Amino acid sequence: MNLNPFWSMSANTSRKQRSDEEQSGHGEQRASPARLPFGKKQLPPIPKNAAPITKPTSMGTPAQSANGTHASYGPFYLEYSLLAEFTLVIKQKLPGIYVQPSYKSALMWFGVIFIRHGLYQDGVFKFTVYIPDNYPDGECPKLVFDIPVFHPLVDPVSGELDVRRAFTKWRRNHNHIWQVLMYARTVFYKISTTEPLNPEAAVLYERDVQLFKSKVVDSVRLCNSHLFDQPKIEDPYAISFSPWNPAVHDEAKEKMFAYKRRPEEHHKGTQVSGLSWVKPGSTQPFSKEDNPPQS
Amino acid sequence: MMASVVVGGNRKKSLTLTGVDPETCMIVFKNHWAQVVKILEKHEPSRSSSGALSFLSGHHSSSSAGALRLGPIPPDEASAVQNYVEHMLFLLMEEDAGQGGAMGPILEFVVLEGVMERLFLWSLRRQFTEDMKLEQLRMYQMLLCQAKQPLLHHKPILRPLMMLLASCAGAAVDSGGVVEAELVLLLNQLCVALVKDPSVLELFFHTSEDQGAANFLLFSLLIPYTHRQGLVGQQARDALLVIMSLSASEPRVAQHIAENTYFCPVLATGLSGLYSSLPARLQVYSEDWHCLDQGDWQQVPALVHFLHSLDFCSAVTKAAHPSICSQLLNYIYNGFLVPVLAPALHKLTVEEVMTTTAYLDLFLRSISEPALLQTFLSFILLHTHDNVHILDTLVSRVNTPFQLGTVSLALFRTLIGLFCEDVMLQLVFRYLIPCSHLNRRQRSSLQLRDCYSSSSTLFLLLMPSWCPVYFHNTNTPSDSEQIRWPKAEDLSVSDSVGYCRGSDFLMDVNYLQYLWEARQAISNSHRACRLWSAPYDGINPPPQEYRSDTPADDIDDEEELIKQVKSNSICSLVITPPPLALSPTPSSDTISISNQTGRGSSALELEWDDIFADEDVTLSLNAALANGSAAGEGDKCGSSPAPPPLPPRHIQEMRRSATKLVRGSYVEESEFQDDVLVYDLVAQKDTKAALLERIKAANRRSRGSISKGQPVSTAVTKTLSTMWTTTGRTVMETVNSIMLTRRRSEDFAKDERRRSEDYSKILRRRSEDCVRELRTTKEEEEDEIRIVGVGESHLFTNGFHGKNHIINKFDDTDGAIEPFKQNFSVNDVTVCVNHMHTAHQPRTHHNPPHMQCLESNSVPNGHFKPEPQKLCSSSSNAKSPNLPKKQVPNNDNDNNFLSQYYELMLSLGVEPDCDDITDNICTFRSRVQQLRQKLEEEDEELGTDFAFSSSWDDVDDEGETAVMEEEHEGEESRSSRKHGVPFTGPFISVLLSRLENLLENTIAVNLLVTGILAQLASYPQPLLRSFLLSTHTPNHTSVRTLYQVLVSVHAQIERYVADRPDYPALVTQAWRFLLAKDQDAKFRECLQSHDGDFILDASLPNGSVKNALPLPPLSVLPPCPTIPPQAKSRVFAIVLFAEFLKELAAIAQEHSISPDCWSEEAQNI
Repeated sequence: MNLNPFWSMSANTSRKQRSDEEQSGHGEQRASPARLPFGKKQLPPIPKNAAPITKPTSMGTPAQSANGTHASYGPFYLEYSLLAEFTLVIKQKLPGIYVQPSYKSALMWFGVIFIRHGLYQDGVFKFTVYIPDNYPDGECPKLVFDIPVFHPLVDPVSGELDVRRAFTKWRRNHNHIWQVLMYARTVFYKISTTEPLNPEAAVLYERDVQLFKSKVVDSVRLCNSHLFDQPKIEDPYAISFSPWNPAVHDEAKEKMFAYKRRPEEHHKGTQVSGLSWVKPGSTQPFSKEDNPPQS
Repeated sequence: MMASVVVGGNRKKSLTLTGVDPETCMIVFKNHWAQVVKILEKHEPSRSSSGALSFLSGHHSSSSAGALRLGPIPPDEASAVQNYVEHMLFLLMEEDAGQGGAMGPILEFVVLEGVMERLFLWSLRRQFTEDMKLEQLRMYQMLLCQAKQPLLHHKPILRPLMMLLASCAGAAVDSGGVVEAELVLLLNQLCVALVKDPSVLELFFHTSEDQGAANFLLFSLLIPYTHRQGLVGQQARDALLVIMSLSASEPRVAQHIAENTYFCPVLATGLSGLYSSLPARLQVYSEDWHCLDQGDWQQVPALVHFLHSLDFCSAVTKAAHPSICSQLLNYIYNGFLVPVLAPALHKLTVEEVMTTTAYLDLFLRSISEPALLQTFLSFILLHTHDNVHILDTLVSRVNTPFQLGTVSLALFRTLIGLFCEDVMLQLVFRYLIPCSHLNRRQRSSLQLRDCYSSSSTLFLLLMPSWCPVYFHNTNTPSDSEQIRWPKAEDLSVSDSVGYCRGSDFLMDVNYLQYLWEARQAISNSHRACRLWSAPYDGINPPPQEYRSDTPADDIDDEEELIKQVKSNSICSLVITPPPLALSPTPSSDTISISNQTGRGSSALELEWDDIFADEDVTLSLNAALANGSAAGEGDKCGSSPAPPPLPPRHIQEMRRSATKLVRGSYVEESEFQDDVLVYDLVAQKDTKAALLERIKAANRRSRGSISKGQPVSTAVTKTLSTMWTTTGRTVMETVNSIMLTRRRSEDFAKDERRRSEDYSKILRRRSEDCVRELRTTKEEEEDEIRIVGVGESHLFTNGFHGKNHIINKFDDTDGAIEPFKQNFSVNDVTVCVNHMHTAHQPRTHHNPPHMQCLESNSVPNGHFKPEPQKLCSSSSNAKSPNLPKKQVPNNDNDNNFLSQYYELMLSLGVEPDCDDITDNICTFRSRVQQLRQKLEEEDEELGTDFAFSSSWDDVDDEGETAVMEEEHEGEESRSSRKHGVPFTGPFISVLLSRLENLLENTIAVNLLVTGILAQLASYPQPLLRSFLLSTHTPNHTSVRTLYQVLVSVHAQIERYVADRPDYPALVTQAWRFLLAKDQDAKFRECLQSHDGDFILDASLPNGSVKNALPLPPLSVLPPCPTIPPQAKSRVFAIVLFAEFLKELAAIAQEHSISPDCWSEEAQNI
């Protein structure tokens, strides 16, 4: 079920990766989606240590099969890990943050953050998240702003946000990408100046807040002025802004609001399914008092 | 004669009267009528021209005279009449209504003159032959059908119509059934007209008095045709449905139908009748057949007929008024399902049972209406036949090796595919809800996603080692623990790795399809389950409430039990888990009580039923035994305890608490006692059977139906008391010492430990004694010793599920008692001691369990200290000095217990507490809670292991995980590990056991089992999903997970293949062939269906898929290897195993990215 238009697109990316390769050999399968004419995709390098670290050896897993199996299924694991991460991001409903995995690689996510309060109010900052290819066993992901924002923790040259200080060691199952995004939001509300990547900003914040504020305002204005630029990285799924165009945007808006109606897929077969006569709160079958059973 | 021509003629008539002057029509009509009357009167001279009634009376008076004068009408006159009537009718039909809906002049004339009546009566008098009936019917049909005015509004037209129908009511099957056909057609039209114009209904009801209930007539005329085949039946059913839909909006009609007609019984009995005409045995043409698909049942006319009737019932249920609905469903339940289908499912021969199961499966698949489905499902889930739930019987049959097992599996596939919460509750969830198979960590991680496909990787790792996956990467090291992939720069390698090329693409590309199908399945199940009442995620429904009395308490496998005993600390076992149902929330009590329906309650609890409810102890025991055996051994007996009639709540509380306490201590003993006693049991089986028969008979007698207060069972009492008395000394001595020690000791923990050791000594000694005793008491005569209800009620199943051979011998309740008889000797005193213990430790006041256990205690007590107690008697029996002879009414009340308790206490040298003896549940509960807390504290000290799962291996020191841990710690750790052996339900156990046998099963069984497991795995509920897809070692070794079974199958395959070096090649070849064929089939199918799923390739010139993709001709498929027939199923099994692993891995991966059903965002959709 599609919660989010992004979802379906990102789901399709996984298939497209494979279909590109299979097509050359053996033709389309039913499950493979259309091949979009964007040229061959750049495949992510197979991650190191695709197997989970802990394997219950007492289970008697045979040694030989590990090789081959992982060789074949490694990409699946990575892809699904990233999809799961994305699902978690959606679940979190981070305020003001929107991300979209890129078309070319699930390891690169585009994003934009809207700052609604505080010093950086009205800031709209586009960024890109770079996830290491040995996720989740590698380092923490990188977050790079398209335009370096004036902030102590943002490198003024590369635009990279210092995420590492929040995640000294990236631990799988405990650290998730949504936390990185959350962190990216937090730094704009709670400014920290220790070990800054942008020493000038840090110093200004501590000594001359007024000047800091004015520089922030300038930076915000700068970012916003570049809002309608072409995306920095060429990619079909890159986030791009454009002025309101009723022809395009009105329809999209309609669709979004009408989205609530879940598209019921064609039910094959007449069999009833999805029944419950259990009274909520009890675990007795057929305990519902009101007669009409639901289906 | 008359109307047929008219009817026939009119249909082709193109003449219209649009231009004709109505006056002219009127005149013509009148003229015609005058002519007709002239002719009619010529032949009925005595007829008066007033109304119909006078005509009738005139008819009667002159019938004899008139008949003489009635001669055959000359044909020319008859044809004249025919013509006239034809014209008249036509005129009438074509007439438009007057202004404001008033009658047109012709109609008015007809009404005033009673034209239709006269015509009818005329033909009635003229030997109302079949032909005449036909004519009349057709006449009315035509009028109804084509008249422009609402003719039925007028009584003078309606009445003769009703009279006509009434006269046709007794229509026997005429030659060719033409009259019937026309009648039904007319009735159909009438019903349709009724619905279209409900004002006519008023007339029906209104005329009911003078017509003798016309409305009844319409309906009751249709009823005989309900189950008819062919067009007649179809039309009748349509008409009935029309009336049903009318009834939904007209309560009067509904009431009439429900109360005054036999419609519902007729329907239900019709079903029964049709069912009984179904073939009792189906000719099965292949061994792999397991379900009736459309091609099959279309060949059996009786089955087609039945299904039509079933459809009709569905339709009626859907359309009719709720009162009719409920009545109909009631009749179907009580008139068809219970008396016909239930016995059919328990027939004697396997083929018949298999056929019935297949029928039931087909019916479930054919029913489209939820209400009717509910009736069938409640029959399956709740009805007991011979005290055994139908569902349990069906589950037990899954394990049979014959085709019955396969068909039963197919039935369960259907049941699971319904996504019905009730079914899943009874099958699976009620065993999983207590979360007894999970430790704390696992339980807290139920809600979390497996983000990194860890379980998928483990599933895929179980692929056979020689499986030809893609070994393109030559850099892979020899050690398998870590895979080092080349960096991104080495594009050539990363390019190719993981992407399927070469001849083996088939093996891996179908993984994509598995992913796709898994996504479909999961989203389907999400959608289907969104109406369920609870998410079953370990939090809701809360595990605590259901822990104490769900079948999680059932001990199904003796081996499991033993392992459980060995793995846990003695103390935590000896002190049984706190009866969590006794938490002071009445609702949970009620729930937990009512949860004991059927197999919910362990056999232990049912022992108590003997005192307070008339229960068949033997059956319940057998059931519990059978549960264990069915789960572990694959035996056939699948009986389960009947739902006990609910005794008063406080009794149940006592029962439950006693059960807990007892079982805990008992469990420990099993590992010591089993072997000895079991082998003894084997030796004594025959005698036992006789004894059991007596017990059973006695139990039946003592059940509510024949309540004479007789002694329940003499034999058991006898042996029981024998055992008690012989071992009484040792028991009592130890008990004494224990009690005294305990009273003095302050340290609870020490007590427990000591007690456990003591217990082991006691029980070992006692059991040996018992064994000896049993041998000697075989031939004892019957006497009037009443069984001590408690003693009998402590016939536990725990330790004595016995070895396989014991259980396998028992095919009915008789045999099942055997081990138990040993049991209670072991248990009873333990129980008592336990109770004593709990009674004394907090020293608050008594409660009924103590009184009950007193009985057993008092017997040994009576041995060496004769007391004037009702229960005990010392050696007064000449023949056997050990037989106590007291008579104890089975359903004794509490006062006796109390007095006995006092006496016993005194005898033990302990002062009985003189507190207020009341059945005070709250205080009892609070005491138990105190006990529980103490137990927990003690357990913490002993440091039972936590067995953390391996995935969440990081030390949590930040974030939500820490919080989660703490809060879970508080609530979970205390109560989590204290209850009995976890049990995941017989259904899952039996499925897994069949899966374990993969290599030996037939192809059909393997397909069904893997299909069912895959479908279960795609359910969204975290409890089920995590149980099936989790790869962690469960905390309790008694619980067997799917992963463990798969590992064992993997090992079997490896072993098998290791001996046959050429096997892998053969299997691989077969595998490729099957996969290629499958791909090809899918391809062709989707091409032909042009599904929406199929995505057209936009980059191709014409966008058409057909041209773009070359269809690999079948000849290109890899050749099918020749496999010897006996090895076919095994080869297929291995291939299926690998594919099943892929399927499970795909499902696990898809679960990790599926949005949750119960989270907010999903509900916003």
